[in-house]
Amino acid sequence: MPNLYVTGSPAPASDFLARNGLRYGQIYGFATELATHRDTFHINATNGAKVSGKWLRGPWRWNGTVLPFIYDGSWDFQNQPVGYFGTNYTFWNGRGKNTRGAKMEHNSPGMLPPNFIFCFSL
Amino acid sequence: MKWTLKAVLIIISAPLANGSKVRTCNATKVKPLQGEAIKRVSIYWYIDSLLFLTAFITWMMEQLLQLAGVANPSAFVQLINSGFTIGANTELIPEATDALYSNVTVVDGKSGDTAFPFGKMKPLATVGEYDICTGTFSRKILAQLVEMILDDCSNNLFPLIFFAGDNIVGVPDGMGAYLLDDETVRVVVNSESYGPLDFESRPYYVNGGSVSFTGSHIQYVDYDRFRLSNLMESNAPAAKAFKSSGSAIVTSYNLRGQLVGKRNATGPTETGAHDSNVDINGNYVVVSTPSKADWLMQSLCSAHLEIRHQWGPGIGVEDTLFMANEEWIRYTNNNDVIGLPAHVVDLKTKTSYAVGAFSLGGFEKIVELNPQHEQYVIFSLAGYNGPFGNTFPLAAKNAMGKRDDGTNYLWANDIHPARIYVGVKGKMEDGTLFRKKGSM
Repeated sequence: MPNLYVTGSPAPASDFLARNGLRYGQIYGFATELATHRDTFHINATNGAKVSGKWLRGPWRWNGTVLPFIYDGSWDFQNQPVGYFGTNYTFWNGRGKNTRGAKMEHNSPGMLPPNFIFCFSL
Repeated sequence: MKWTLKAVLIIISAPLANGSKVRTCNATKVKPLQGEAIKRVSIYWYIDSLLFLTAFITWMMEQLLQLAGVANPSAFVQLINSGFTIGANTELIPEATDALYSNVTVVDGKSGDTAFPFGKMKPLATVGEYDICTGTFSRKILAQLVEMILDDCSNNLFPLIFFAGDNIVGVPDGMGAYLLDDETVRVVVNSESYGPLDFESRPYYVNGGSVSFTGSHIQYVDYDRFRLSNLMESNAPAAKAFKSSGSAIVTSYNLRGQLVGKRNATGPTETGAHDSNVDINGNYVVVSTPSKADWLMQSLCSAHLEIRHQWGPGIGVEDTLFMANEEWIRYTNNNDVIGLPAHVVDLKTKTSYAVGAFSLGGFEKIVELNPQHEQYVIFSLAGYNGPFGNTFPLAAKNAMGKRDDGTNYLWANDIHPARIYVGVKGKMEDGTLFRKKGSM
């Protein structure tokens, strides 16, 4: 059945953002143990190349309270993912955490099964 | 002279008799007409036909305008002749190959090489084209013209031409199309415009018309489904299929869930501020200020249309929505800037909501992925993480604490991985079930 809570109770219909899952959620970043940074990897990557990793999160989550940007989740990717401090897992930024990477521009969903993945162009 | 004008009006009105049914410009509905209304609608009908001007009609129009007291009728007609009605332009911006390598002669305002390898192209709408049928342009211009002609008014048209009009605002960057009903295809497009950071676009008005935005617009253009399906079978312009257009945003909410209100020009806007323009206290912090609008909707980039349940029954967003995002901005030196949210438009109600759940670093594009589950939504987030100009509150950030390796934070712009957002349908920010007031 559509539009239900995990508890199975009926969902409200009146709040547009809540109805569409845009109030309560979590951002995950792709993290890997790979030492090669993302931009460097893509320069030499061939079609079909794969990177092992996990979708992991930082500590930030939108709670509905408007705060200055210095409190935003945009900073989380310079730290290790929650629960992975001290491991080799880091967020796979363009050029690590000490240098700006390439701009990330246009992403697109794979529309046909089983390719429910997405791709980025840099 | 006035007798000549009356004679012209009689000719124009001649095809219509009492009780005639006229298809007016802005709707497919037909309305029985009586008496004076016939004269007026006849003039509208006549003006509408100017979408496909001939030299003769141009001349006629100039005579009418001159009789109506317009100072420079040829300039007005030239404006119409320039192809400024939506869908009238048939010349293409895209080229099949670069002009340097094509044998096609380059002519200003004309298509280049159109030998596209995968099919023909035809413009549906071009930036700068006006909605002469339903926009404030046509209503005000034509109403004024009718009044001038019928009532011998001698007002000048030109102030209205330059201060009214619903035109397509550029630069287009993100669009989608869906069936509005069985007979109508709605195309939604956003503009990447920078307002006072570059050139100010005309304002659009929200929340009862009292509050205005410059910068980026989100607009829709409706086309007749049948005519659109046959559009490529002839040389007819897309204007043949055009039905209506307008702003996709009539109501606008900020991050706090407040209706966006007017900007306080002399101090902080304490309620209803457009959050990307202000600091946490409501002070305006963008490096330049709109001259004809309250707020700047800055650089909406690569917006994306998401159709309700596009991944299967119950799977995906619950409403057909347009996901837009403010991309970059230039702030004054201020430690308390808020940042750049996404803006999601409920296309059914033409309501825009600022979204904080994706974080506030500005995005190029946010698109829905298949969650493969009825209770969740997933969006892919691309760019940028803080393109706020040359001044940013880095010292203030590091004063709050260092990174987990004990070093200072760098400015966050372009330091991020590929990201996804997983949202749970039907919950408020704290995870509790949303309830209407009074329902507890």
